[in-house]
Amino acid sequence: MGRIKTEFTVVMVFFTLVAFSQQKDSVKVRLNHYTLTIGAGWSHYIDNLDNGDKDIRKDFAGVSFKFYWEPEYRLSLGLETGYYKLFTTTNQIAPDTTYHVDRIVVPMLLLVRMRIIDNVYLGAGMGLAFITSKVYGAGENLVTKTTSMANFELSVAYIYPLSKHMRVGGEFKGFHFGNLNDWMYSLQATFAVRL
Amino acid sequence: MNIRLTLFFFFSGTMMMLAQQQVPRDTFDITKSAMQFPHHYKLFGFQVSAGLSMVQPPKDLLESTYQAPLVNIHATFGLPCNFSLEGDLSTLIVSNQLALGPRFSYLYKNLGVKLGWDIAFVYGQLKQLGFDNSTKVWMHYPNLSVGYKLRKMAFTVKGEMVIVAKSSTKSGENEVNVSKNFVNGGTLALYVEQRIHKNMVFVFGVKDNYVKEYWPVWMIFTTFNRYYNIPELYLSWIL
Amino acid sequence: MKNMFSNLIGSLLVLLFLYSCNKDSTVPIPSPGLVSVLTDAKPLPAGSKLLMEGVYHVTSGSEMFGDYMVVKWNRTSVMFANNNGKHFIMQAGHLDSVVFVQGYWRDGYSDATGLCSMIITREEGGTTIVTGNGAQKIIILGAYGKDSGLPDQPLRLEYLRPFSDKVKNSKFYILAHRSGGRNSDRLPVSENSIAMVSYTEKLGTTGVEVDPRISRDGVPFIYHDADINTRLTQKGPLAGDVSAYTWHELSTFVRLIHGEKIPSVEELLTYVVDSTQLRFVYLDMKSADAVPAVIPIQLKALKRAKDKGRDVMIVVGIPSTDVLNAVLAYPDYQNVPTLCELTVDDVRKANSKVWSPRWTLGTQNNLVQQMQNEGRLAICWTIDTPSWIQNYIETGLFNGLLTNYPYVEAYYHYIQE
Repeated sequence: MGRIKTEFTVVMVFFTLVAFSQQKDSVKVRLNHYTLTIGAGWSHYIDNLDNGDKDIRKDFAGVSFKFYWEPEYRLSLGLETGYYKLFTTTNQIAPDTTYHVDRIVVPMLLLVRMRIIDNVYLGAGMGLAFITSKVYGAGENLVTKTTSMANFELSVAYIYPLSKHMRVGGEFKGFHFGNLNDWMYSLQATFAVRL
Repeated sequence: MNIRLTLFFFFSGTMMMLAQQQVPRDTFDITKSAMQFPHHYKLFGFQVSAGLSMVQPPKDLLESTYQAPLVNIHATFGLPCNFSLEGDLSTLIVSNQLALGPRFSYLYKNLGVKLGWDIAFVYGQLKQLGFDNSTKVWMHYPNLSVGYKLRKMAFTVKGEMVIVAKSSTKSGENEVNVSKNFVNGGTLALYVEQRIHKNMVFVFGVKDNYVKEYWPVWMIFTTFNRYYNIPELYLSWIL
Repeated sequence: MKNMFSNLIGSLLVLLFLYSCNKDSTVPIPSPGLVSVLTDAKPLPAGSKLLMEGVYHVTSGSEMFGDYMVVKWNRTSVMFANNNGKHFIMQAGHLDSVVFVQGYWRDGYSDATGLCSMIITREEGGTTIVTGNGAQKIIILGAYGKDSGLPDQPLRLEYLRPFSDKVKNSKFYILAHRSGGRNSDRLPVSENSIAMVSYTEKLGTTGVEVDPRISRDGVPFIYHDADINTRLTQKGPLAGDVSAYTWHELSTFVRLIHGEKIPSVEELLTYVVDSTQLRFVYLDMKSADAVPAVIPIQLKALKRAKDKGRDVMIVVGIPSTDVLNAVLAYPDYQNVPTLCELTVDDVRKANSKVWSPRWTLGTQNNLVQQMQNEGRLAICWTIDTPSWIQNYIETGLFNGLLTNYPYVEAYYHYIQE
């Protein structure tokens, strides 16, 4: 009889565990996650300057920061910013006078991202970009700023879950900054914390 | 012992099945929740979505004027015999468009086709910054949508003709009415509809307006008689 | 499924591509080729040009160019203009008593263009035009084409009447925007350039509006927007506030959309006085800071014009209270010719020679008359739609209109009875 009681107790405990585990996986599954992502890597400016680009440098390191709201399905919504140097040109306008011009962009984009297959995501973004132009050399050190209103981004990302809260991956993305018709692409390694 | 084992597995198996039944099955079908995808809309059912359109008008039209996203409200109302009504309100404060029109939808397996004809009224008014203008425009948008759905996602391509029926412009004390009745161009859009949160659907769209006159920039009084490709990104949430 | 996603990405890229294709372009001027009868023709004397001018009835080709055209000579060419924006920029010369007219037409509101070749025979007006004798009725006979195709569509114009006395006695100003035309109208030269000042007379313009700013080192120059952008300039390394740069930097690194340098105010005014027949320059000040630097250049150019016997009015525009205050702070501002876009009270305060309201405020005939009674002019800006231009010329009392389509304004002005 005692053995039966023991067996009954084991069955009940097992049932309780099974039922509880189902409940945890389904009804109380967390529907929303928030992810902070930092990306760093290479960026390349697609040179479409009509003049002043004889001596131009187009490859730089860039960083990005993203915040995503990830509901339970394939889509995520987010915000992205970053810092990219688009180009540096060197212009010798007299034997002893050389000017350097840098163009730097800080995008501020609204993102929509979609999981295509496991770990692979496609994204699109649109929003503002703050563009800084630096002119220096020959006693000149001038900084001007302009805001580009219509800017677009397309991206493809591979994101691998390291643990429940950490993700690593890579992302390839292309940008168009409307105001000055600048095009750039970037390949970045990303690290994300998912809450 | 065997009986006990049998009892054990039978009992625990039954309990597991019971437990499984408590899990809500995901019965979501995009057909019932989509707005752009052509389907048989629920009779007298009302759907509404709210969103934004980001537009990049060409430099010819925009020059250095201000730019802002269009706020958009879209609604559907189911009618008998696969008919429905669709309404759309887009606003930029100084320029507004209200469109309303019937639709006939036909759904075959995963393919849907929708035919419609919208009549739109554009009203714009600007009495600041040295302007004293108002504009009223009547337009027609005959349209055709073709969609393909998966269970939880739908893709719809929508094409429209844009016909300007009549426009009236007032400047200061002068009013000039111009009845145009001309084909202003067309639009082609691709919409993707899928769940974003619970059973709510998010619509992502890209649209090309291939038009001569673009209603949100009426206040510029464009005089160009040439076509422009004006891209538009559309994000909307079906409420 | 994969195809779906490919299609989605493909569509996005296509849309981005289409967007990038909207870059402003130029409508190419069709070329008649190397051989032209005008190579051997003699230029028409001034008297002959006056005899050609007037209102013509279009008896063949009216479906394209309307029922009437006005023919008006300018410094370098002869312009034929109609009411729908289509205009001809032609050169003319004569061999014996036959007048040859060749050039191209353009629709200012679209990108349509084509070659045109015309002739006035010795029996149908040629003799009268060339010799000044007789009273032949002028018939202009020819053909027009599309793009660079040979002219193969018939065109026939019959002289209807000379310009009315009202028109001949009028000092009405046909003012063209941004030194003569905007980039968005796809002209062959850049807006706010000296090349445009030269070109715009071909379009019937009798005066220009330009946009002065000032460089960081105090040189006033002509440029419309506050920033360096690809709407106005070829893409170069500089960006941001155009006035943050020195004149040397702007001259070195920035080229306008068709490759011209940005002109200084002094260069442009000197060109207007020395090399054109323009009668009006409206310096539409984009910056109050530029006022003290621009006025001495304006006064110097006016003196230069006077010394050369040129009747040209050069006014500093006052579009804002900032600029008004800068003008009022200038010593002896009462004697500086200005144009005020603000209220009539502000016009009186600055003793402006011209009041210039925005056209969207209406014709305002009462106020215009008040200004004219005080010995001032009234010119409204910037009016582009043909029906509005017609309306303002027929019902308004303005002394001139600023427009991006001077040939339309010219048509409605010169056709007045």
